[in-house]
Amino acid sequence: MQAITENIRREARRLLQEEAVDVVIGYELGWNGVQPVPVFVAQPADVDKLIFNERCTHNLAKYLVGREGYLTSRFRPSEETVRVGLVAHPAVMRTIVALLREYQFDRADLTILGIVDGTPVGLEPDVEVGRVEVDSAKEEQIRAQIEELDRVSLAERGEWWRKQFSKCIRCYACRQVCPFCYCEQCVADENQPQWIDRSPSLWNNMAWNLIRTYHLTGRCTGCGECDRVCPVDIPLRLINSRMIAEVSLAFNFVAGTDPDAKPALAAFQPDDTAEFVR
Amino acid sequence: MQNIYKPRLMTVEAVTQETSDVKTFRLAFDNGGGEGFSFEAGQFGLFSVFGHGEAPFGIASSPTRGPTIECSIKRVGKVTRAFHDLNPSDTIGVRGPYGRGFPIGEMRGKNLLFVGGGIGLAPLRSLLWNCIDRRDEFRGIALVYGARSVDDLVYKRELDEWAEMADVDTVLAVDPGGEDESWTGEVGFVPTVLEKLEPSPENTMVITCGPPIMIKFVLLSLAQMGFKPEQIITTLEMKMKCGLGKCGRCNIGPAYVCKHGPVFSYAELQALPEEY
Amino acid sequence: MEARILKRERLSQLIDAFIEQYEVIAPTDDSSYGIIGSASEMHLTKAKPAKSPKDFLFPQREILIQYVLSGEQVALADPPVPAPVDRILFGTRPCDAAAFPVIDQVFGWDEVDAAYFQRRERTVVVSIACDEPCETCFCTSLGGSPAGIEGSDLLLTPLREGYHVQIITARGQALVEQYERLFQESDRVRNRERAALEDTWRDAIAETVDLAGIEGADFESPVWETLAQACVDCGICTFLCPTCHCFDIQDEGDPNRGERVRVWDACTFYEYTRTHAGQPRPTHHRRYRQRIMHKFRYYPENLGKVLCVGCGRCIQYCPVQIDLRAVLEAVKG
Repeated sequence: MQAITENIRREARRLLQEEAVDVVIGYELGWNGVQPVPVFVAQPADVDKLIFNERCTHNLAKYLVGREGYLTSRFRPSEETVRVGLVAHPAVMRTIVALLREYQFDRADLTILGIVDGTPVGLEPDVEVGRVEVDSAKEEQIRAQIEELDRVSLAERGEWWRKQFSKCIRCYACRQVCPFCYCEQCVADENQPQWIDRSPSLWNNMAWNLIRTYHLTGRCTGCGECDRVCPVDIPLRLINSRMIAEVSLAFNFVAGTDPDAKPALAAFQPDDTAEFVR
Repeated sequence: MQNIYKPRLMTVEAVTQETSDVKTFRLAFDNGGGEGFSFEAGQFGLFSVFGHGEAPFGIASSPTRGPTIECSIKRVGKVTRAFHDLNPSDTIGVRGPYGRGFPIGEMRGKNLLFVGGGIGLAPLRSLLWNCIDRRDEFRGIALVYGARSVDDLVYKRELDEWAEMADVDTVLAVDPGGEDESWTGEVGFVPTVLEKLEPSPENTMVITCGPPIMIKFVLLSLAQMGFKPEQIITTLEMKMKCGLGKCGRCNIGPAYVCKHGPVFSYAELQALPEEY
Repeated sequence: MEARILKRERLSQLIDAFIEQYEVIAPTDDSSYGIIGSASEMHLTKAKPAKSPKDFLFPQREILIQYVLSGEQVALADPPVPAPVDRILFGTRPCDAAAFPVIDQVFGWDEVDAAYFQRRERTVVVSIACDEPCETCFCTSLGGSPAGIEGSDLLLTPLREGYHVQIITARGQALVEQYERLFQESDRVRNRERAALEDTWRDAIAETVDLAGIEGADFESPVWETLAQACVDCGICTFLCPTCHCFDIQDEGDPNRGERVRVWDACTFYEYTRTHAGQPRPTHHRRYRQRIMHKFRYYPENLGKVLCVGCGRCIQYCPVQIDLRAVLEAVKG
């Protein structure tokens, strides 16, 4: 990890000194000296703030997109293109691939300081700053939990999820940390009509969470941030991981792994196996 | 204890189409429902269409011209659209009156200069009729009012009425390009028209309301002509939701628009962050 | 101040006895408080639940009025109120209890929120002191303490053996007298032990902020932009905060029948101040600045109390770990 930190600092310093980027978005140590937090470094003198360790899970691609995104903001004068250097761990790299397929920004405006783990990713980083191991224990745990849920009856599973969603307080942290939730007007905020009432009743909470799941299907790259940030411990990861698996099974498509593959739910071929469209 | 969130019921008595997207609603309380509802010019109410929601609107009629009240509403969103779909005899709700009205006491013995733009004339109208009904208490009363085009002028019939009055000076304007063949008023933006009139700041209070861009330039013009910030009054009808100082939405700096406003002097506004 | 001792093994008995007469609200898991049916449903841990108990005085959803259209007539009704129930809020932390007198100010500002005060009047607050403040706690910087009494009717402080039970208000006194058989008298030794423990716990608060000068916080300071750069505009800090109280009012239903409800809202949300007339706080840092300035300057200027009790949830649960303590240090005048 220390080597990765040093690589990141070296590359960030070089990029800022050469004025190849305007800002490097990475991680620094936060208030307790242990927990990393996102940091935005615009001066070469500040690059020593940058670190990388196994706790660096935030999906920094979030800061590229959306209303205030560094690469998409409407609040900057149009002549001013911001060039960003991004510290990208494997899930973030997959996110970038998927965002590029959604035409969110220009690849040329982004310099990727990538950390790879050997799993397929649909793009090469501009600089490889490190390698990490896939956390197979974690992946296994998620797979096991999903399988356990699949084993019980539909009624039981439904009851289990209803109990989870009844906890939801509609803080929208899941949405706000997700790079794919970049809609300028989220369906949950629409009031003409009010598709989803703001009240945190079970019905509305399910509407919110399941609509978000559907809107992410075929796009989510499994960073797990939604799960990490939920303050009431709803295991959102289980749903989104399951949908990734479903899409893979149905369409042989995994978001973010193949630069040439069109998004499964946003593309149609005349020889599609689904009959209903004809 | 009283439910402070419960509205009184009112019936829509009449609807007037002012412009393509502004309507004026004359509202009446149902039998005695108006008991205790006494307002000052400049105060607002939280009006609601049941099933659609509540929104704050300034009361556009004068307290001297009850018992009905009037609101002028521009159709811009969910609740205002629901209002625009109303017909006479429909029921709506009102909570209030809330807020600090115009300091009519401070205006006594002074010249009053009303400067309005577009639908900004609505809150001014409440005060203007109020002052006209107490005419002796004030010196000169002048109105400078403009809109983007002839169609966008509100209270067209009353503009003629005020123009007819000997003791009210009325100057009307439309933006360049907004005039039609029969237009006999000024052509120009309100701040420009105002400057041409060269109003004197001597013993005068200005009451202004309109689109932010108009207010900005009106304030500049007034400053250039020697008006002090304490002499200029405006009203911020925006961002409010509960009207009770509790929901937090209208908080700007240390002020709550629903409690300390919506009427503010320009001097008071200068002390607040520009979050409006 | 009068005090009692409650033996540790008597706690469950006491709670079960409460449940026979009162609606008892206590921590039920790591995230929240809830109504419990027996002492075994209580989940007391070192760390406080993620959600504060404010939900029980200021519900996340509350019906304000009900309306029904019959023919041409609209009929309005006050919300259906179940028979008033006396409640015990058990296991609040001193920080959460201290929040109640703070938000009392806004709900009683001029127009009085009757439903809020009805609940308040019928709720006895029995708090438990924090014997292991979290890394993110900073109650002492706000005039509080891990064993503070503000806002509580009774305070239980864990001693080496049993709980010291401080009787703070007449309501607390009445409650203790109802279950006198379960308590023992306290004595000078135990009282001193309690005080000494409180001192230890106060010292255990890792980071403090000197709030002198906070009312001079500079709105125009360029430092706001950097402080809020990482903020993602969710509602976690606001919804978990025991003193945040912003809300929205919406009609649910249709024009024929429905409810006008009040729901929690957050000034951190983009939509909060967006109107057709524009968006006065279009960027993260403006919204973040408003939250801090409102809590530490505008609310105290209007209502006399700082809108924060130092519970630290905003720091602990922020998705990007923005540290309020660091922010306050950086912006105070």
